[in-house]
Amino acid sequence: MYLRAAPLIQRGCAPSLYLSTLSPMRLSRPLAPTIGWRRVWREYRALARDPLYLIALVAAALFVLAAILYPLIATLGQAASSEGARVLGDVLRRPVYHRIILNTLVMGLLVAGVGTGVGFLLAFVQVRVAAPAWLKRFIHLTALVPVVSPPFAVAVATIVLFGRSGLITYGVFGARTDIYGLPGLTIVMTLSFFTVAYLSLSGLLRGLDPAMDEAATNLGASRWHQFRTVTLPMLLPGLGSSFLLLFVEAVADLGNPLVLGGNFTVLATRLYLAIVGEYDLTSGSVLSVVLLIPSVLLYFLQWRLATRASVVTITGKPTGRVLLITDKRAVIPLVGAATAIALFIVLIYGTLLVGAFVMSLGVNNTFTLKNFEFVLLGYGAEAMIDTSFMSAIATPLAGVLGMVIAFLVVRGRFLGRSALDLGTMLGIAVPGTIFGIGYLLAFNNPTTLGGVTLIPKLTGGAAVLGGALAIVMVYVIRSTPAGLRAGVAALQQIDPAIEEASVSLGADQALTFRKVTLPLIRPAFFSGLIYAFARSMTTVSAILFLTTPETRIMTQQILNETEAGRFGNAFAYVVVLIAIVLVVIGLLSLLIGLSTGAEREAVQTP
Amino acid sequence: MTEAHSLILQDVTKVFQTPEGRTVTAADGISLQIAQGEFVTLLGPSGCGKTTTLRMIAGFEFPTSGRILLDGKDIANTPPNKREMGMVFQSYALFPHLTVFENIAYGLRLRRMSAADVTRIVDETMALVNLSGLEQRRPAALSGGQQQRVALARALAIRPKVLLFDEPLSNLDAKLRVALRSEIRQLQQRLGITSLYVTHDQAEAMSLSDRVVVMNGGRVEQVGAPAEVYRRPASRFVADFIGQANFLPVTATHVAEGQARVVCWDQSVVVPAHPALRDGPALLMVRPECARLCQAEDEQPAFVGVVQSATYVGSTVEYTVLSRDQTINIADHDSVWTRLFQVGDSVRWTFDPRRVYALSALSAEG
Repeated sequence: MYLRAAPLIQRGCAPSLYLSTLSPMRLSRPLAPTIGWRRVWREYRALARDPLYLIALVAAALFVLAAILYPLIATLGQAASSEGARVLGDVLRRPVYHRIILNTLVMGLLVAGVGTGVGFLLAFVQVRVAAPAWLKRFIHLTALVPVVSPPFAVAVATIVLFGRSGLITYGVFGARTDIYGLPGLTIVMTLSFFTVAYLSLSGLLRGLDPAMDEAATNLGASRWHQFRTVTLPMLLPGLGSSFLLLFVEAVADLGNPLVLGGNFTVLATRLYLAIVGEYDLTSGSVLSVVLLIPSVLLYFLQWRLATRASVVTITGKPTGRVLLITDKRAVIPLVGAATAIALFIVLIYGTLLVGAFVMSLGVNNTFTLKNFEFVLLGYGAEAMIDTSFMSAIATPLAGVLGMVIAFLVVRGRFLGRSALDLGTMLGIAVPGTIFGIGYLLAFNNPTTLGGVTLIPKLTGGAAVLGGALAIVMVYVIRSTPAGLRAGVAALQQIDPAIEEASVSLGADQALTFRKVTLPLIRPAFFSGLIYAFARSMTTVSAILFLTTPETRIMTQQILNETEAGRFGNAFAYVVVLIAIVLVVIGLLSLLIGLSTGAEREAVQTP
Repeated sequence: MTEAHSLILQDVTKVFQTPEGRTVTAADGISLQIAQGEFVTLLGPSGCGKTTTLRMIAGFEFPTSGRILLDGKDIANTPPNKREMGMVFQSYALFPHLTVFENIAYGLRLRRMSAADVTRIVDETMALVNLSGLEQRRPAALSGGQQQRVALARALAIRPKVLLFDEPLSNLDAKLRVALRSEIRQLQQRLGITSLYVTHDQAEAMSLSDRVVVMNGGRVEQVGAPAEVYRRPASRFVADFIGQANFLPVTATHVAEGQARVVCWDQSVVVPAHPALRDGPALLMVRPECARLCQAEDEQPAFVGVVQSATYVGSTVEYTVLSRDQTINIADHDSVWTRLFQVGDSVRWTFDPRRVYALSALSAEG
């Protein structure tokens, strides 16, 4: 099925990871050692001769500058003000902040470690262990579920199951457990984010030449020795990259700590409190910077690692088949653990589903449709329609932008190509909350230059279109990187000679792009669309500060209902949201299915 | 260096189940005896079962039926990591995270050798394959030929009972391939290791082996020394696969003791013949270099034809001649220095009756 290959399945910042397993990915080609201004001038003059090219470049550059860099610079500027310096001094001195930073680090490390472990276990079982095909399929599909649900859906279900009055902890064992805090967060965030690790590691495991294992076996190594000395070391860059990615995701996450953090405060929740509770944009900015710098650094470090991981084995053509592990002593614990995790996911989402159809799960288990009535027909309908509508607008924008930037990055010959790539990737490398603050700072007043309004007021009261424009912009910047990576991977697999052939036969650049390049990267385009829609529908942290009374967003409504204790409504929202995402994915996949398979075959031709 | 070991395959068959549920017989009743210290090559087109056979010997595939005997003992239940067979992979399968030294030491360390012994054997082996000085490099920093040497050294270092090669030279360029194959041959001769080599390249097979096993469709077509399979192919397939060949339809009479009188386009000649040949329709294999265009009028046998193409190669002139509706390929040595024929020339061509071979026409079906 197409879905499996689509990068949609990567939650968060993952796309680079998985796609990079398909083709060696380069950040950019090395520039010539000397960059003379004459050469730069020549390059841009050559671009200008092709108006379409120039328009694409200008549009892409404007997008990166206005929607991504400007808000970030606004945040940095606010943090660098004298008021900001005072707050920064506070953050560095006061133990309460030390505590928060320590909490954030510990949580990040735990989630990254456990998540990578779970992802690796599932990937290993999937690729290397003998188990019934239906069981593997079941594990695979359940591992994908967290991608299409809003991040804190798991948290809500976990409270119902394992909280103080949890169906399982209290209902079955009669224990008054405290799920709030670090242990609960670790479990919930692991479940929310491990899919990325699972997908990238299974991709890498599949990519290992089976002959490597055979060579070790042939030289006398047992399975265990071979795993320790060959498989594991070769996956180290991949494991490292998953670890870093999960760390970045965990410390950036706002939804789960808000729902499940309790007294355990992390940077993201403190930041949220500063903005929403105290309306202190300066503190917010300073905390943003504290969160931003390590996040971005680690994100790009993991990107490099992922690139390394993908090129680790390539000599000659792979031969032989993977010999699956059949030793019962290994199979039973491995498959058992993987199945247990899959069943746990089923339990969590089953709880969501059941909870949506009863009055109050665990308290009053009467069947009811009033939750859905609320979401579909009542107060919630507006949020549902608004969110879907805005996501539907953001989806094609992000998809096209991703492909255009990918084309410029891979095929373009101009100075600033890597800057364009990196700038776009910031859209996902930067924690969403920080974009929220950045947008508030940058767009709460109209942006003017010499008395001319360049960008109208986009956020807060009386914003253009009730703030909808800002939200769509955030959706676009958060989803474009996935499309970009998919596009880059696809384009790098296409031999430039194919395009040159078209030009030599008399077609100009524009016609070549339309008739040759575009059909070849269409699968990447569609997977970018799917990802963009799923991402937009489930985004929380970036838009919490941007919603206004006029524009309500489903994820925020879920959060509100959860905080108000109306779990039934929250569950119904989650179910409806997942249903919408799945229907749209289904429709898009159908579209892909309708397009001829020729392009995918062609892409594979070396 | 080590005492050599013998390997015997008895009626080994491997049936695969495709994902669609069909069955494919990759190896069909393979029987083979490899003597101590012998170098044997499995040769055939892709899909002929040669790699599957090799992998069954290495233990990566399990025969559906049949037995594999190492020094007379059945090794069916010996796991691949206990078989003591060094294998050189087509993709080299070098461990990219280990240095050259560590790659070669990998198998030695598994044998719980002292560090000093490991270093000594690695050094010796590296010297053997002319790699000294590259110990601390990673595989990615080596050329293709060097990677191949590391792969060979790694397999040699464990002093395997049998050395297995899975198309080890197919990823190298032509010149390097020729250089490395003579090195492999010299090394094998010097060490006297029983070796089994898989390739689809007939030149490689001929130049390396004591004996060549020609395979087709999972079956063994012929086993013999390189000269034997070239001169006396057991079937049309073998004749075609090893070198080039023209096949003339003939009628055989008086078959006896490896000779036969055949009537070939109205001319009667006595030629060497396959032992299984019976009186009746047969095929006469004529290699292009065993035929030539007649410079004189009185040669026998001789056939008339018209030159369709003439290519001056240097060592020979390659002609195609249309003769009785059949295109005959001729690599003429004489023409290089004497008369050059042109396209459209009516010519007479002949062959040396001692250098052709009569085959059963039935084998043409195969």
